Amino acid sequence: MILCKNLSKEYDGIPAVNGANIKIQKGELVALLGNNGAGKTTLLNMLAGIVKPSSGSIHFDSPALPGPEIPTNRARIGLVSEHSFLTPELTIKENLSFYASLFYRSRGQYDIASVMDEYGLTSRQNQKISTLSRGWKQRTSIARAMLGQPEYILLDEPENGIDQTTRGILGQSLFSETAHRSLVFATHNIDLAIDWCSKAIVLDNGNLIHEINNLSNESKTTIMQALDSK
Amino acid sequence: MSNRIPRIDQQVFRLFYRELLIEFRAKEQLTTMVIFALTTIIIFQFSFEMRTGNVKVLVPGVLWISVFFASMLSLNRSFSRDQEENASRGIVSAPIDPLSIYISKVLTTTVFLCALEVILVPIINVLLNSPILYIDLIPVLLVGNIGVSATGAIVAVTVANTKSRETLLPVILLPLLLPVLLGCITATGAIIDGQPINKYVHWVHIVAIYDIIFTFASGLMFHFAIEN
Repeated sequence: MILCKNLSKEYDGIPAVNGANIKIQKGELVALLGNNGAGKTTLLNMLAGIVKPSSGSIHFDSPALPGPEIPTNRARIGLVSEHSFLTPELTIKENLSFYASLFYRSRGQYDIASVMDEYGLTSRQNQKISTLSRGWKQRTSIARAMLGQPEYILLDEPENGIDQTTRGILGQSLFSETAHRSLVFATHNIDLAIDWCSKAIVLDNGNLIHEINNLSNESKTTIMQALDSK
Repeated sequence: MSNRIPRIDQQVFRLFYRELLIEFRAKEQLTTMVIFALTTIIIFQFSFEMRTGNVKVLVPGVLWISVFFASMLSLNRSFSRDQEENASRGIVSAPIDPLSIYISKVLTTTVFLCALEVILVPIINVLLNSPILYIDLIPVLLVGNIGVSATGAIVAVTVANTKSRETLLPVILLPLLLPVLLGCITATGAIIDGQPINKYVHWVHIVAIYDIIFTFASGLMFHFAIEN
């Protein structure tokens, strides 16, 4: 479970996220919706432990326990963004080995070959990231995020600029078998959010303005009205 | 879970290994540093030959000016490269201590500066026709390199996201590094002049104390700098 208590972040006095109270249960697939500047990326960065909140707190599992500020909890997170987080000069295999070495103490604890196999990267394992297309970079990036077998998957508009095949891989690999995982998916794409998620949180100017459980096609009008009314 | 994530020494080694692997592949940092430093030395050599009788007194300044500006190229590239695919965000989101990122960057720049000096010092010896190959120079070069790297890493990460980072880095770093550069230039001069160790060792101590203070303070501040 992820619990955000009165979570806020300000940049130069301007609130990016303003007093968010969010509870994400294990197995829940949550879409984070909002226009540009709504605070989606800032919220995800705080959940990932990259950005420290100005006030409020994040807790994993229980309100009494800490959140992503401690490294052992960050090991439970997989972050995928529109950026690949990969090193262009290195190959797919070298990038995955490097990230695995940051998540695990010894080599016996992980198996790069099976991860590459699962994401169809084996045939291109020795190809440099700088020579890959956007779709292949994103596929490698998903494999990178899954190396630590995360319990919490955070997605920051990962569907931007990728083709239908890679989008299929994204949906299949991240949104299936989620009983033991929680997933937060920040996106502008309402249709994709409805297809992939069970719950939606709508943000505007850093404020949580709407929360919809049991997301369905009928929810689209409600979401659009919530976004348009602001 | 705590038994799964790497210890801080392992984190430092793995981040350091990545930096070396990138350099081995791209050959960007060390190559540009060497070319820049050599060009500087050659320009100085021509101008001194025409104007100055005693080149020996200018050698310490030439050496450390070349090292300082060559380090700018390395530091700039080291941090700007991690912005390209936002790799810095990926590394920070991993279960590692930000301090290990700082130590690995300091270690990488120090190693690159040492490698540069291995090439540069004999060339200065030949081109400027001034004997500079002394064993006593090694500790001076080492404390100087650590000072430049430790201070440079914290400034480079602070300016990495700014548009004018190439300009800002030397402008901010040069005043901060004045104690290091003055100490190293004076100690190098004393060694070239053949003075006994007790005449210049206090400069090495001053630079070493500066290194310790700046490394410690920068290590504490690094996670604030990297967040921004």
